[in-house]
Amino acid sequence: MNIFALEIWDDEASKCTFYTVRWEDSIENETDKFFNKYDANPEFKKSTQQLLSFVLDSIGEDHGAIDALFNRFENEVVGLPNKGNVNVSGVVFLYPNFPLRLYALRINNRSDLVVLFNGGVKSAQTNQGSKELYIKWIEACQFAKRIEDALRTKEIIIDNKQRRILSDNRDEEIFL
Amino acid sequence: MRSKVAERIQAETPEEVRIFVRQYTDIVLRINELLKARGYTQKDLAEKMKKKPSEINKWLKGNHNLTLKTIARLEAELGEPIIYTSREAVL
Repeated sequence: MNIFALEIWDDEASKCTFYTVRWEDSIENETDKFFNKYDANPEFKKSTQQLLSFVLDSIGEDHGAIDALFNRFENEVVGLPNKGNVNVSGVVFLYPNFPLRLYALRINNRSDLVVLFNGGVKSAQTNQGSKELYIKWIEACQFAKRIEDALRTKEIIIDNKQRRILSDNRDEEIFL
Repeated sequence: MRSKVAERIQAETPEEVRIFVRQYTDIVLRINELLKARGYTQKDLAEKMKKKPSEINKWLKGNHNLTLKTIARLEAELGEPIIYTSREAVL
């Protein structure tokens, strides 16, 4: 896997800090690529706005990254928005047919630190059936594995007070 | 700091879209909590409301939004308020 930067995407929301990833040779991070791409497509503009509001307003400001909003488990990552599938058999509420998926990782299952990746259009029942989404999902899983490995080996650490991820020499600039 | 892309899209987002998303998330989380607290399954809920499970499923899973009627029915069955309306005087 090539080297990527782990950098802050948003630290202004009151309940959660959002990170993103950026390939070392890219000027644009993966989450910006996702939002830019679908915001520019009239078919998905409203869904893009809804998803951004879900991330920054509902998660960032109102609830944090709580279990009920992070429940669309797809291997190493979670697909946003949530599917509202409560802990009882098969009751599904929220955004059941939402066309977009944005992949995310909660750091150590905390409600206040999330890494956002890229995503795409859910055009088939499974990720494998949505070709572009499948590629982004595989990539997100690889980013997530690398980040979790770095946390395990303490190559990166969490600053609880600042709600930050730092390198082992407490630097905010992180390349993995 | 906030992503410039996020800032731009947020600035272009109609206020009603943000209000809808926040309220919808709040309502769903509230129903979620009440169902968990009561230990209800979809089947239980259908039985208590004398509806077919498929009908409950349609309310909750369908393409349509949760309607006020659905919320009122759920509120009646779950025995706790789901949404509040402000009664404060309009200034």
